[in-house]
Amino acid sequence: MVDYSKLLNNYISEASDLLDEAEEAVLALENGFEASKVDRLFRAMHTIKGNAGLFDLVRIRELAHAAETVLGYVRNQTITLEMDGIDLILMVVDRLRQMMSDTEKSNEVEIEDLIEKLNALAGETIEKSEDSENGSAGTVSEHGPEGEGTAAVTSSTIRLKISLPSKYVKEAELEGRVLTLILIEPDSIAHMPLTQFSAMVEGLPGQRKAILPVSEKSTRIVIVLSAAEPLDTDSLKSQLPADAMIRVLDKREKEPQQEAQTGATQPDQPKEDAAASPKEATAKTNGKEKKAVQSGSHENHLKVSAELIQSLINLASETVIARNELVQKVQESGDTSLQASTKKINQLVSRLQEEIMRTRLQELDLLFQRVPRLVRDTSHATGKQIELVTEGGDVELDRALIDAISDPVTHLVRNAIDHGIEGPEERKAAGKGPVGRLELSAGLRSGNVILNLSDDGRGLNYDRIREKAIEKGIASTEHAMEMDHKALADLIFLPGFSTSQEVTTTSGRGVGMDVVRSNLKRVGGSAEIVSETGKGTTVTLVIPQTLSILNCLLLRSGDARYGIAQANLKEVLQVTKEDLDHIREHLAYELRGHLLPVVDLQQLLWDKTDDEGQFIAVVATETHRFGLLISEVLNSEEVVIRPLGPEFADVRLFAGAAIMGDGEAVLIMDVASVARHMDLDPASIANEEIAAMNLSDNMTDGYLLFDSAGYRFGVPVGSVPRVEKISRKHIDKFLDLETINYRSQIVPLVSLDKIYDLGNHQRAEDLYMIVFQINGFQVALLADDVFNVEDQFQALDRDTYSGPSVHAQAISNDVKVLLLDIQDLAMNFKKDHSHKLKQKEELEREKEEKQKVESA
Amino acid sequence: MKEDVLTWSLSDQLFGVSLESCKEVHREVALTTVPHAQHYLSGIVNIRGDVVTVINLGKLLGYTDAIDNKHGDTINVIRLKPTGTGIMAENVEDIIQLESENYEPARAHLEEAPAKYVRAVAITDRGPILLLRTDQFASSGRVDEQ
Repeated sequence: MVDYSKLLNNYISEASDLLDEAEEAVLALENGFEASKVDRLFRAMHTIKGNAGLFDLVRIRELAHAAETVLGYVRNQTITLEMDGIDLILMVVDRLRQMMSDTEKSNEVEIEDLIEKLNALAGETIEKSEDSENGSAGTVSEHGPEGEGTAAVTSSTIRLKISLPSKYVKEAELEGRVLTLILIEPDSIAHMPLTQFSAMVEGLPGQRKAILPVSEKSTRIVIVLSAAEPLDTDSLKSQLPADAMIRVLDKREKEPQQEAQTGATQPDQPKEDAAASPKEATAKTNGKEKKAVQSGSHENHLKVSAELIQSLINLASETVIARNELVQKVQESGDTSLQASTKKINQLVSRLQEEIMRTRLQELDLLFQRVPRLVRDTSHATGKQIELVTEGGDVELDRALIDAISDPVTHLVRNAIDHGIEGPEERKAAGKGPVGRLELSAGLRSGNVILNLSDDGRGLNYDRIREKAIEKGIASTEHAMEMDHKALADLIFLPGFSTSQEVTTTSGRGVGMDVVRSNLKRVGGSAEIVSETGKGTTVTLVIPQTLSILNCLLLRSGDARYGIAQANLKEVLQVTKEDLDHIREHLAYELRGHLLPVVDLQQLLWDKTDDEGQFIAVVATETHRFGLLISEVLNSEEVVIRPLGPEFADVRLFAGAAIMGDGEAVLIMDVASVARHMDLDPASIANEEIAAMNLSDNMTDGYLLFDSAGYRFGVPVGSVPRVEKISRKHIDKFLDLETINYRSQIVPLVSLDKIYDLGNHQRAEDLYMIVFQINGFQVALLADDVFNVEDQFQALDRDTYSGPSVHAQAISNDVKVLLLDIQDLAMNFKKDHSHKLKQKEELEREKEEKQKVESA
Repeated sequence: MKEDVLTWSLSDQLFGVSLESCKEVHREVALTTVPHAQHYLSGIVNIRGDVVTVINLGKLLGYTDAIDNKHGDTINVIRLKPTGTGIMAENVEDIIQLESENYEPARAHLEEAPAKYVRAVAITDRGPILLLRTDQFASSGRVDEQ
C-alpha cells in the first residue's frame, strides 16, 4: 500500500528541486541562449505540471502548463527570451515555489496575472499551438497502449471530451469492470470545503476511485468509479451536486464504444515517468489520507544540499583517518592522561561519523514506489496475473545505495515474473491459484538492510542447472552430481549462466544474476538465492545501511600500497619462492592439501614479476578462492572508499581509492574482479568449498585452531578472528572480569578454562588473544598458542553435547578439538558480564577525570 | 576582448587555460599510478580528500618526449571546472592577460590530432601559447581520443 501523504511530500520535495534547477537554468539563459538549459527548464515545468495533476493541484498545474507552452516555443526557437521574458519565468518559478510551500492553499493563489503575461509572450504563436496540439492528438493514436483513452460524456446540451489515462480503460476491460464517469463542474463544488468533497467521493459506490482533471485545459474534474456491475445512476445522482453528469463506460465483452477513441493529451509523457506509478496509487487514495497530508510533515525536514552532506562526509572520513593516526601515536607515547583524552575523541569521532552517514538515509519507498508499475508492465507483457505485496518501505537506506540496488531489484522483479511465476493455466495445473504472488519485503538486521524478494512460482529447475553446468564446463559430471541444491542455486550468479530455455523481451539474455551480485558486492553487500522446485524462489539481498567505513588490510606490492577488504581476506601466509608451484603459466600453492591458485600482484598490475614477493594473502569471494602474492603485509586500517573518476571506467580491478593518514591515495583491490580478470576456474575452488560444506554447513571456511588451558579449540574463520600477541601484565582485572586495553577500547577477555571449568591453569608470560567483533560487541578469547586454519578433520561429531556454545567435537592431527559457536559464546558472555563491564568503564572514566584534575 | 589565462610549460611549449575554467592549482602532490588505465592518464592524487584523476597532456597530444609517470612522483596539478579533472603541469607559469583578437585558429599551427584539444593559439612575445579546450577534459566520460 503506497502512502498518499508520502507521495505528496515526495512530489513537493522533487518539485522544489526542479524549481531550483529551473531557476539556475533561467539565470544561465540571461547570458544567452543555450539549448540544454531551455531543455532542462522545459522539462522541469513539464514534470511539475504532470505530477500536479495527480494531487489535484489545479493552479500549480495551470501555471506550469502556461510556462511550459512558452518554453516550448523558446525551445524550438519560435520565440526568444528577452530580459522581461526571463523576469517573467523567474516570477513563475517564485510563484510556484510559494504555492509549493503550502499546497493546500495553492488553489487559492492568484495566478491570472502571470498566465496573462505568459500567454501574451506566447502571443501570435498561440493559435498555431492549438492547431499542433489537435494535430498531435490525432496522430498519436498510433501510439496505441502508450496513448490515452478518450471517452465522451454527453448530456442534452454539452458534449465534452474527457481524456482518461488508457490504463483505466484497459484495466476495466481486462478485469471485466464497468467504469462510471462523473463530470463535475468546478462551480458546483467551489463552495465545498475539500474535506466535504472527499467525504462525498468516499461515499460513492464502486471499488476504485480516481479524481482526474477532464483535460489539460479544463478545470472541470471527473471522478472515475470502477465496479463489477453498472452502478445505479439515480442513486448516484442523489449523492452528487445537481449539475453533475454521469456516463457509464461499459467495455465488457462489447467492442469499444463509438465514442471511445484513442487519442492523447499528453503524448510527450515518457513511459517510464516516475509520475506513472503514483498515478495508479492516487487512484486508491481516500479522503482521510488526503487530510493527513494537509497537516504536512515536510516542514520538520531541512532541505540540505547533497553537496554539503557530501562534504560533511568527506570531512568526517578525513577526521577518522586523522584520528587513527593520532590514536596510534598516543598509544606509543605511553602518556596515560593523553590516552584518556584520545579515547574520548576516538568514541566521539566514531559517533559523529555514524550520525553524518545517517543524514544520507532515505526510505526504501523511494524504490518500492516504482515496483507496482514495473510489475504491471511485466505481467501484462507476459500475460501473467500477479499480486504484489510490499512491506518495510519505511526501512531507511543510504541514498547512493538505494540507487545502486535499483537496477538489481528491477532485474529480480522482472526475472521473478518472467521465469519464476507461471501463467494462470500452468498454475492451475500445479494446483495453485491463478494469481501469482510476489512479495518484496525489507527489514533491518544488525546494521544491514535485508531485502527479500520471493515468489510462489515454479522455482529453480535443479536438473537443468546441473545439465547446464556440465554443458558449460563449469563442473565435471561427477562433481555436478554431488552438488546439493544450495551449491547449484549459487551457480545462477555466475556470469553468462542462464537456465531460461527461451529468451524473452523482458529478461533472460544471460546477463543478469551475476550483475546483481556484482552490483551488490560493489557496495559491500551480498545476494543469495533459495528455491524449492515447484514452490517458489526467494532472493535475499543484504546491503549495509550506510556506506560507512571499510575495514581494509593494507599491503605492499613493489613500491606501492594497495588495500583489500578484510571481509575478503581469509589468511596471510609467509612463503618462499620454492613453495610456489608453476602449473603451465600459472602459479599455485599447496595449502592444506588443496592447490590454491596464486596471482602475482606485480605481474597482474604492472606486468613484471615480484622478486621480493614472500607473502600470500588468501582471499575469497563467493565463487573464488585464491592467493595474492605480495611483497609485504602492512597494517589494517579503516578507510573510506572513494570511486575512481569516470576516466578509469575501463579499469575494473579496483573498487576505488582511499586516502590514507599520510595523504596518499591508495587503490583498493576488487577481489572478485581480479578473479574474473585472471579467468580463474571457479570449479576447482568450488571443489574445496564443497568438501568443506559436506563437513558442516556453516564451516565452509574452516576453523582457526588454538590451545587454551591445555585443550584445543577451534573458532570459525567466518567470524573474522584477529590474533594479537599480548603480555600477561597488560591484563586488567575487575572483580572476576578481565579486560585489556586494545586500540584504546576496553575489551573483555574470555578465559575458556573458566567457562568450561578446566581447572586451574598457569598462564605464560606471553600469550595470545583472539579478538572478535560480534554484533558490535568486541570480545577476545585468551589462548596460549594459536595454530593454523583447518577445514578438514579426521572425525567430526556434531550430535553429542559437549558443553555450552560448542558446535561440534572434531579430531585434527590426532588431537581432540572443541569447535566453538563464537556467536553464542560472545552473546552469553555479554549477557553475564555487561553489568560488570559497564562498572569497569565507569571506573575508568572516573580515573581519567581524576587524572585530568591532577594534571591540571 | 581580454582574457586571463593560466599558463604552464610542457616540453618547451607554453600552454594555457582560461582562468575562468580553472578550479585550482596544486603543487607537489604525490601521484598514485593506476595500472591498466589509458596511457594518457597519469593516475590519481589526493586533493583535500578528493580522489582526483590526472591527465598526462604530453601523452595525450602524442609528444615523443612526454614524461612517463612513476608511482610516488610529486607533480603539479591544475584542476579544471566543473568536474575537477586534473592536468599534470610540469612548470606552472604566470597568469597573463591575452587579447583574444590575437588568437589564431589551432589548425593553422597544429596537426589534426593535437588540434582537437586546442581552442586557439595565442601569439605572444614569449612565443605561441596553446589554449586548451577544457570541455574536452571536463566532460564526465573518457577523453575523446584518436
